[in-house]
Amino acid sequence: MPNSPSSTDSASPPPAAALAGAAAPPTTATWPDEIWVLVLDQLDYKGLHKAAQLCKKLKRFIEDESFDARLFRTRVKPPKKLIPNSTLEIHPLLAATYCVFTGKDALTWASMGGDDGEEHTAFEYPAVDEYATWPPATIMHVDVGVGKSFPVTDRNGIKVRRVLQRLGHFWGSKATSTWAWNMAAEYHCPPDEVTWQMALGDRNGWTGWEEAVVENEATAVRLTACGYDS
Amino acid sequence: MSANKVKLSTSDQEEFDVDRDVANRSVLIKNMLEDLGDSDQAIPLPNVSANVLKKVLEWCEHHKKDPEPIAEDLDDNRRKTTEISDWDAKFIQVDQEMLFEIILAANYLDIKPLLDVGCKTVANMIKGKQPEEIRKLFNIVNDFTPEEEAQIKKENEWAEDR
Repeated sequence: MPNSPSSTDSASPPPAAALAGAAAPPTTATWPDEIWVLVLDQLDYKGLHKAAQLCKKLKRFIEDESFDARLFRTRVKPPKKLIPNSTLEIHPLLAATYCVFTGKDALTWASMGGDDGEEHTAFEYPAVDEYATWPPATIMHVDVGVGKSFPVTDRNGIKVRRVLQRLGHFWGSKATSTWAWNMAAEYHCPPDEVTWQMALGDRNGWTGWEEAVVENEATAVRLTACGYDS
Repeated sequence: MSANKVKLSTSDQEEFDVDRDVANRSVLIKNMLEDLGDSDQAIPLPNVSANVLKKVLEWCEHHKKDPEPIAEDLDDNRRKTTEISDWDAKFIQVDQEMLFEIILAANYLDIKPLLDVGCKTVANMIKGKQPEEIRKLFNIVNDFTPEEEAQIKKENEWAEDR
């Protein structure tokens, strides 16, 4: 045995332990599958993704449809109606995306940060094609806290990619007149060149999403951003 | 033998005299007792050794007055809570071999809440660690080809704990 028994089982004499435990120390290799399923059942999105990297058996277990909801998988059609006023789960990738900038060509860039010190975009990861919320929504109003929300729709269920693309387009789009006039003075440019992105000023992005709540008609979802970083 | 006591016999031939309501936490033992009726016979538990049974009975003793677990909502889509009560958290602070033994015993003896505590503990161990660490810890053989592994890593890297 590589590990000596700790104080917890020191009461039992060695011969007994040898009799009981057979030859090998207990490992998860001898676990019946149902125990693994119970462990997986305790894991969230990130935990399941980690477990799927361990070995083929666990990866296969996680393929099961019972994990679809927790993994925001798109193989299930979005429900026709959602429960009014219920709060939806927000996809962790969307939740981790703290800003989306856009250039003149409306190129969307979703910043993820990263442990290698480099910025990554959410579009680099396959998870960007998973549902943005669970249960999946078909109509979403995104409120980024600049006094105007914009719609995102997808009859097959809104994916993370779609929300981020629409965010990029939104920041690049022309601001409404009130904003535009205010901003035009500040940026010394004509009002018709003012985009929503200018409304951010020197703020880098929002600090996450506060919530995704189903609106009264039970089909549309309001996705609300948290406050802003500067 | 008193009607309130039952005798349990472990894989290593140790006998335990246990209060009936403590032993009844195990659905397996409970069913066996019902089948046996009034008998002085020791109940054989060939899959559990004395040191593990001692630990499991410690849990049963503490939880003997717990209400019967209610069947959980089956279509529970919410993120699972991984909270463990303070007593259970302290109880399950054992070395890893013992943790695995307790889980196996709880599964065999059919003690769902204890199995739950064990599985939650294992789940929490997975959360804070790198895949290679987890494999080592749990003795899991990496059977992916290097290509498969690279692909899976790519799919999952953003979800790593930062």
